[in-house]
Amino acid sequence: MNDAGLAGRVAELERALEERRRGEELQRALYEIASLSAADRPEHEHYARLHAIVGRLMYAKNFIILTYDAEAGLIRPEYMVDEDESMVSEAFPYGEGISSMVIRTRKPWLLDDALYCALVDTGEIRAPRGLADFHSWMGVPLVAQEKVYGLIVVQSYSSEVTYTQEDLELLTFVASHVAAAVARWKANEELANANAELALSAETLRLLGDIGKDLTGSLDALAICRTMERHFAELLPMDAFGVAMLSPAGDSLDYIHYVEDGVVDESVSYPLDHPTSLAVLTFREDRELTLFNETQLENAPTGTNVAESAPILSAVFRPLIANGRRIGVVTAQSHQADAYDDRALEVFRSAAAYAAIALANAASYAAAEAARRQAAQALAERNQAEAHLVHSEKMAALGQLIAGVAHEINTPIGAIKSSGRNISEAIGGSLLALPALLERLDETDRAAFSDLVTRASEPRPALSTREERVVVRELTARLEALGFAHARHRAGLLVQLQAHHDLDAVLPLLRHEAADEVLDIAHGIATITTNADNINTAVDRVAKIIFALKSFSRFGGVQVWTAADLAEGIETVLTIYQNQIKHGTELVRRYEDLPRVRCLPDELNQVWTNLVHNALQAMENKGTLTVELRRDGDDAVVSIGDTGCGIPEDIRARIFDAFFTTKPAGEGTGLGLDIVRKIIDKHQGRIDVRSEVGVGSTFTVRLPIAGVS
Amino acid sequence: MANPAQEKGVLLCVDDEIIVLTALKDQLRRAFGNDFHIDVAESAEEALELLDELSEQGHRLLVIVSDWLMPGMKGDEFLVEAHRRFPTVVKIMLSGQAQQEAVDRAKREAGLHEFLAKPWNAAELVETINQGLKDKL
Repeated sequence: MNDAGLAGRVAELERALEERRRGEELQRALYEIASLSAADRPEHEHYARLHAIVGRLMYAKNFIILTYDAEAGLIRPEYMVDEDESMVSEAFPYGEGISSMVIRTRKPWLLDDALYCALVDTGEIRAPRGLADFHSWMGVPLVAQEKVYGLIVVQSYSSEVTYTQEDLELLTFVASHVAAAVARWKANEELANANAELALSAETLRLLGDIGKDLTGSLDALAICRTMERHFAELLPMDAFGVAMLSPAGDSLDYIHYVEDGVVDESVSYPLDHPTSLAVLTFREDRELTLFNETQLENAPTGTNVAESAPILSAVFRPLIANGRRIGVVTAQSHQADAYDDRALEVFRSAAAYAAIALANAASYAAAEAARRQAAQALAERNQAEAHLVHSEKMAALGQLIAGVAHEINTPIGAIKSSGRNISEAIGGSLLALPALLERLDETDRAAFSDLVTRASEPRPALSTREERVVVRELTARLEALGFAHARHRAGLLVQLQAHHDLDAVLPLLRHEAADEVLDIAHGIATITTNADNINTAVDRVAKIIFALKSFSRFGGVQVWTAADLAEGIETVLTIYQNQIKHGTELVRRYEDLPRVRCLPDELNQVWTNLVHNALQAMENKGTLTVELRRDGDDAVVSIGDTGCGIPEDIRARIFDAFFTTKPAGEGTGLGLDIVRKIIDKHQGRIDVRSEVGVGSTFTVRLPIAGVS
Repeated sequence: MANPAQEKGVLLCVDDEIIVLTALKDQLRRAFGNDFHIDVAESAEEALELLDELSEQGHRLLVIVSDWLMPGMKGDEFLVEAHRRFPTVVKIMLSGQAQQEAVDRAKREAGLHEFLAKPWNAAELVETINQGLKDKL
């Protein structure tokens, strides 16, 4: 083997070795590049690793990776290591420089000074610095799937290092792999962004759902405003928040809630023609108003009493629209400039839509509630008015009775007064004369006198004046037959003394010389008894009337369900009306024995009062009042009938209606039978009327004996 | 048969209330019993029958004291009728409740001597009757 041959062979082997070494190096580089591309996004270290990889393959002291943003028309240095310290890592517009040329031509370029100048001369590129400041320059586009992602630049400032076509091919080869990694990074980044965006959207949607639930869960406008404020404060930079609602009159916007820097402002109202209010402007023009301009905001009145700590620099106003109607305006504001990005605005809009619905619901609810309150008030007033009328009706009925009752009381009082006087005079007259008389009588006569007085004091059967007159007349005839003078006068006295039953016993006294004195004094003593009885009877009468009045005056008091005797209540009412009944009414009572009925006795008294009153009025107190009380199965049946004018067919159905009356104005409220019906309803009873014009009417009341179930 | 002419004149009380009649009868008997026969009736209808009876028997009717408010015929109507039959009788109305027009009518058509209200004063009643009798003489 010659030396040259040997040297050549050695050189050849070395070359082969070198090539193999480079091949292995290349292999390793490609493997590393591939492994880099697994990263989600390129970081500085990834670029630094690329730099190191390329550096192992060639001279790469100066190494720049740039990305191309076609949309923005910008070329951005992502990684730069350069000897020239004037090189600034700043984005520059895609244009007519050499980097732009690489991107535009989509092919690798190897430049030296001469080629650079030639390109400048042909206008292919423009050189800001006039001359190339490098010695050797390589720019290789990063192209993957037909897309230019950027470029890799390596350059040498030293004449000792001049890149060759071979270097360019190697860099191009490496770049194709880098481009794939970049594309993958890009894709990864986009995917990550999309995922983040998606996650954000999902979060936004969830938040909005929560806000919506929170907002629409309340029917109180102020609570809705506070909820909205709380949610916004969590999601947006917000230093002021307000909700203004269209006034009920529709001519102004009234802030129902306004908070700035945590201070709640008093409500302010702006007329819809207000010249500077941004809320009014938003409402009037029916559009969202987004302002990031301080001067514009300065003119806008927001709160009045809130001293701003810092100027509001961002604001968004949005009309509140529910069911297609503008109902108000909501605003969020911030001290930060450009506080509201798209997402914030999106959240604001969606929440505003929910809030509008919630506020509209709240308004409807408030209106319904107000209407309900008004209705309740009206009902209470009506009840009160009705109660008042019921009271008037009672007072009217009572007033009509008072005169009659006064008479009812005056009669027994007159009798009591008179009888009292009779007694005291009888005592004075008869008892004082008694000793003298007794001296004139012998023992037998005294005994007879004593018997006479005793018999006179015995309880007497109630004789009518007519019956008594018959007895007196018979006795007169007997006395006349016996030849007595003053027979009629004496007969009258003897009947008073109840001596007519056993005339023989008193004949000796009648024949006595002092017969007149005997009769007078005995009668005087009897007077004491009869008048005392008379007083008792009269007092009973008064007591009965007082009791009836007392029952009457209890009307409207506490109602107590009690088992009561219906006949008792009816009798009470008849007592009260006795005076009127006497005017010419024949009273017929047909009472069956009834068990006690569980009822409100005072209220039923009101029923009987009304029915008796109407009956008497219908027949102008002349005719027959028939009161029946009977049992029908589980019911007690009371019927009150008159022989009056009757109720014409055409009004029969209306007589139980409130305010229906046939009486002249002022004489009846028309509530009588309405009250009757209500009371009977309360007892779960029934009232019916049978009537014939010119014949009379009968009202029949059925009441369950057991009371209400 | 006793001579009716010997009988005393009659003083008649009409009232639907027995308690009133009882009290009146004793009161008037004590005041006028020596001079008059006291009779009572529970209604105007009964009183009219009685008047006919007394009249048939030849009794001299002197005074009528009548209530106004009674079942059936009222006091004013009764007194008008009594006045028609016995114009000279002293007529007194004694009532707790009489309509003014009824009193006026009795004054106009029945020559009502006096209206007294219940509760009445015994002395006043006696005085009124005496005054009425004196006026007739």
